[in-house]
Amino acid sequence: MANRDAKKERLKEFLAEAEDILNSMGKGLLKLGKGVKAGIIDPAVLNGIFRSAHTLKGMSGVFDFTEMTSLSHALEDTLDLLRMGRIALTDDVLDCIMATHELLLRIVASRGESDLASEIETAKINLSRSYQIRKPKIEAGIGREFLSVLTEYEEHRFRENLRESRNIFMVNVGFPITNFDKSYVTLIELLKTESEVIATLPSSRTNHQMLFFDILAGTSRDRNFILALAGKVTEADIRVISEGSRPEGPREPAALELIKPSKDRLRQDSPHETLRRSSNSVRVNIGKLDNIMNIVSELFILKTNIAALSEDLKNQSVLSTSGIELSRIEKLLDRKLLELRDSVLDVRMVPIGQLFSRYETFTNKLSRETGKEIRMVTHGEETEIDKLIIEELADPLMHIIRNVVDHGIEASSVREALGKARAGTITLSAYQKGNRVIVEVKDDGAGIDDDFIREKAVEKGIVSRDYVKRLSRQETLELLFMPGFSTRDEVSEISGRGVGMDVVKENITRLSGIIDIDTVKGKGTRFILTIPITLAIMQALIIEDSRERYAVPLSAVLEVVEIRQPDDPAGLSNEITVNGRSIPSVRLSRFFGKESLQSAGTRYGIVVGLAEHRLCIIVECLVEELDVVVKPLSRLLKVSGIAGATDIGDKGTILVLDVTGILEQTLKERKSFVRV
Amino acid sequence: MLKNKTDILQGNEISEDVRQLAAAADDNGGSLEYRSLNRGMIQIVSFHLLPNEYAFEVSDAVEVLKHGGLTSVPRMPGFVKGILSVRGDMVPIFDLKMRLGIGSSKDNLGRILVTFFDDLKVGFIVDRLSGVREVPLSSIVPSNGTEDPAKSLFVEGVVSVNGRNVSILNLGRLIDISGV
Repeated sequence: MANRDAKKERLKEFLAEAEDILNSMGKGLLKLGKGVKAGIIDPAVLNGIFRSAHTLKGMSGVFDFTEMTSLSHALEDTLDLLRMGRIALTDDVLDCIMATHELLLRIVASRGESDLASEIETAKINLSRSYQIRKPKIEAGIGREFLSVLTEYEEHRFRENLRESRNIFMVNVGFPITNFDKSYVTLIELLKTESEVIATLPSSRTNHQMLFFDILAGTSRDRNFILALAGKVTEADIRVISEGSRPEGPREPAALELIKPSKDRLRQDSPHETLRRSSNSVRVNIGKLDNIMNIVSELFILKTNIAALSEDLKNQSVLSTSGIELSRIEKLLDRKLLELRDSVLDVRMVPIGQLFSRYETFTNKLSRETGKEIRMVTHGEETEIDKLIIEELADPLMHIIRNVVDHGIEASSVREALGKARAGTITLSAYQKGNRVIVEVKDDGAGIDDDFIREKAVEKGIVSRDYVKRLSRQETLELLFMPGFSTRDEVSEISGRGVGMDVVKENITRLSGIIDIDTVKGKGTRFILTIPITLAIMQALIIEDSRERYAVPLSAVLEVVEIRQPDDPAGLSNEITVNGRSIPSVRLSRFFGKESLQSAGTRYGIVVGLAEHRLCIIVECLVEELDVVVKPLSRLLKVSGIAGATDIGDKGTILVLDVTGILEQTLKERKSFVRV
Repeated sequence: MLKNKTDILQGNEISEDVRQLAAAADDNGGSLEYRSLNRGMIQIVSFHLLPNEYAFEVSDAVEVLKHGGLTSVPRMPGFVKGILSVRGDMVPIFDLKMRLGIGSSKDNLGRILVTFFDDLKVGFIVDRLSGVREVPLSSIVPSNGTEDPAKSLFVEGVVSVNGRNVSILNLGRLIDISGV
């Protein structure tokens, strides 16, 4: 059994790693796609993708993921042919590669449990049908013998350089045996700034003191320039293999153009194989971080106890030195604990750009499927947010983008007729606001017509015609999030049957988040998600009502007011005046269907808001402010108005209120009450 | 299973019942495999809801705690007595008597038997644990619809142990409260 657990653990790790590899492959593919459009292909990118496929093949083999192995093998073969220049990178090939990449992602997502065998076969066949292998041509003037010492890849790069009409030189250099490795690397690095190093061949002149190399390099620089460059490191001799015919003139259109090798290519192309990973990061299961967070919050509780003790000591006796010392240490402890908490929180934070980048491939795919031209712009990728929240956001954002592409963005021809840019723009942006992050999906599409929504909602039987007449504009827009609402009659392949937006709302609410829509007909729509930065720990106001204590997340509270003279001790009225404004109110005990205590005296109102709605939740007593770690209630217990529970040390476990849920539920109940 | 056993052994409030339970599980491997491989035997953990005796399969049980310190949850059916924080997990606690429709348990008396189904932990209030035993699968008489229908919904079968009838409960049905 322990064995099986360990295996499960390893499998989980493998899946996580496979996902990482596929993500980086996705980024590479995106670059490659852009490159193909621009007619420029960076061999380093192609190599990177090839290596990803290769690693995936190896790893999945170890874990007996035969489907993944065979698919990544097919992908690797295709990529190998591409990087050798044996096949051309056409749109067809690229599409097939992207489809394969997507299928691999699905295999990982389903943990290899869903049956994708037929799709895998199709993908493999498509891959192999998408290209025709070119026969390598032998260039005139270059001896077969010379080519025979090059590997196939080196030969390919050599040919490409020839085709590019670059100068090709054989740089002969010698180093003393004692320090050749260092000097060699310096030289290669230097050469790479001005040329492509195609191959390094050992030279026959090598003797006991000196090692000689022949370095084959392709460059647009002339012989003397390269000679001087190499001369900075060691004495060099240059043999001309081929002179480019038009070194500075316009180049003939080439299918492949080399982008100046970047610094990281140095490492990638290094001939020394190594198993060391270049990254210094550690992959940690978020559960372990949650665990640390639990311990931290327990430490905070202990600290509070110490603080109380030290306060007691102070009050009891004449100032004792140990009493003063204790209070000093307690303050230090407090500061250190805060630091500890912040660093643990910091570890959980990842830039939201990680999430945004996933949607680029996704919109490209949607764009292909719908034939609509779409441009994606992202802002604020560096905004940090809890890793868990990122994952919870992934699907809702995807649904929103789908809906935007399907319903928001017009067809290119329509857009042109309207005087808009042919390509629709979707802007994903994020920024931090207090302890919340605002994520916005904005489009410049058709916008949402609220009359149309009203009509549809009635037609679909979601609400009555009478009811819909009384709705404000914002309330009308909220109909979009009703289950079963779809603004299109035919089922679209992309948005499906209008499922999605209600799920989006549910998911965002579960994160204690808020979703708002802002739309201008003809101009576009903004979906605005307001999400807490972390769910791991939050500041909460502990309140008491009907002898029960509850925690209220402070981030959701707009204002707390004191209600000195309740005109209406039973709390039967549904309105209260706060700062001269009359807002709906509800007693917490009534909301939970409990009998409220009839005690007279001061009560407190907690004012919460959602969009333009306000609600004042009336409670009996404010207790204290605490940092709490919120745990979800079991999924067996779904209670509207309860977000979870938290341990507050020896005072036991208390429920955490979902004030937005209380607001929505209360307003909904009142509205339907009025309606009857 | 091993995990369950460790949980039992690490329990904060280990009662005598659990020691007994864990020891019994240790003696014979305490795993489902054991059940299927060994002569068609099944291991059950039995307990009293006075005056009757009931049981879960040992593989369903995680640990036993003292009854107390529950936090009640509003807007819940009556048999949901609240939640209990079990090492950071918020575990719903059911009054098993009320769930079975045979009365109700007293506050802060008896034991809470924590079970594990799918990825859900649920605790049941029982009067007292009686122990772990091994019974032949063949000796279990499947519950037939002729008895009290509400009861037979949750009872998988009845087995006779030392002359007493022990009803083996269906955990999955007990915790499915979607229709309640």
